[in-house]
Amino acid sequence: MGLLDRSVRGSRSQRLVLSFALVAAAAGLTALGLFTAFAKASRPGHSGAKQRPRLSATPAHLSHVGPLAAGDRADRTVELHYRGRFVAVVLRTAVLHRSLLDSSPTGGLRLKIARCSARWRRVTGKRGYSCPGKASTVLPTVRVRGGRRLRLRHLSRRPGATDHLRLVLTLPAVAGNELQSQASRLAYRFTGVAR
Amino acid sequence: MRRSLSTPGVTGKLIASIAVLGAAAAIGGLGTFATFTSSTSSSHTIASGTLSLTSGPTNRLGIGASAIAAGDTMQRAIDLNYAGSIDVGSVTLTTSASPSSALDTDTTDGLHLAVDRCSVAWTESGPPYAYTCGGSISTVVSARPLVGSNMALSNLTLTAGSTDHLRVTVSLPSSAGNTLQNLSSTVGYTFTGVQRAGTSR
Repeated sequence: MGLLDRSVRGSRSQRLVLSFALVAAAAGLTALGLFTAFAKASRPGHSGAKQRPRLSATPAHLSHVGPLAAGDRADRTVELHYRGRFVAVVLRTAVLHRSLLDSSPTGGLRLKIARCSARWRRVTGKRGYSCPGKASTVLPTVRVRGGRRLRLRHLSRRPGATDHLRLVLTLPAVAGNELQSQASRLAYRFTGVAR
Repeated sequence: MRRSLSTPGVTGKLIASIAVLGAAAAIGGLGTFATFTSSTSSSHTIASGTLSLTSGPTNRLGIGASAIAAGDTMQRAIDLNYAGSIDVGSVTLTTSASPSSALDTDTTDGLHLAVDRCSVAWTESGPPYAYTCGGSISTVVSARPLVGSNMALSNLTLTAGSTDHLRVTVSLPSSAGNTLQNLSSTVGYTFTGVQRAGTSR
């Protein structure tokens, strides 16, 4: 009886190992097959060890904005530096400290991002910036709220290049009294997707 | 010595080897296709300000006057404070009367209002209250009928953190006839501040 039990258990165990082997082998072959297809699609002669692509943004800490009144606008500049080539850059917004500024659908903050082909220049006597080169819209005006995933357009994304961005935050003129004395802490996470 | 059935024989080892190789290939293959990404962050705090219009410490507007005759004037001082963090763009005054009488409905011979500003606090005497200015005086509201809506106030400082020292003068014109005798009106004053225009911060 005891031997019979053991042989039955042994059979199950072997089946399990065999099933795992088959599944693993199939996954391996599938992956390798896909890799072959990918390798064919890649440019020839593109081999050798490469640096891992890296996207960095400066400054890490943008200056405080406020106190804002309805209709106010605040501009902050960010430099995006590329090491390696990226096919896309995505902005994820996170709200580290919540308030009505990031949750009010009508009166809450709006964000727009523009790019200048040269470094943004401060307008003398004002708090805004002007573009001494060619300006383009990287992100059209959107409502600021946490958890947004926004694809940025018209960026250079070239190795060694820098994109000069201007973040424009606006408190709509229709913002009511309930939006007074509010504070939100926002984080902008730029993610580059390498090719 | 017992042979454990969980220990594989030659066949078992082969199967296990295939499993390991397969798993390794799978992991290697999938790893090849993982998309490289690089992330970087910036953050900051964004705060909205406050607009606050308060009165005091001087506020004599709550003090009435009785038995006034044609040609009489009443002066009352009030301090307007811009206590918020946002500058005020404009201030309006709305006056209303309840209960009302011909004193406030007769726009010709009824009560009239004028508002002046002193660059420093008014010096008070009385009662009956009268005020002199040790600095410079400017006209905030020119003489007009007492009751009105959204009267624009001129020559105010409006800067956040500052105070405007105002003197409200209510007068019954000399032309007031007998029909205005023995009447009474209670007048309320509402100052409303509107924020400055939006700007770049």
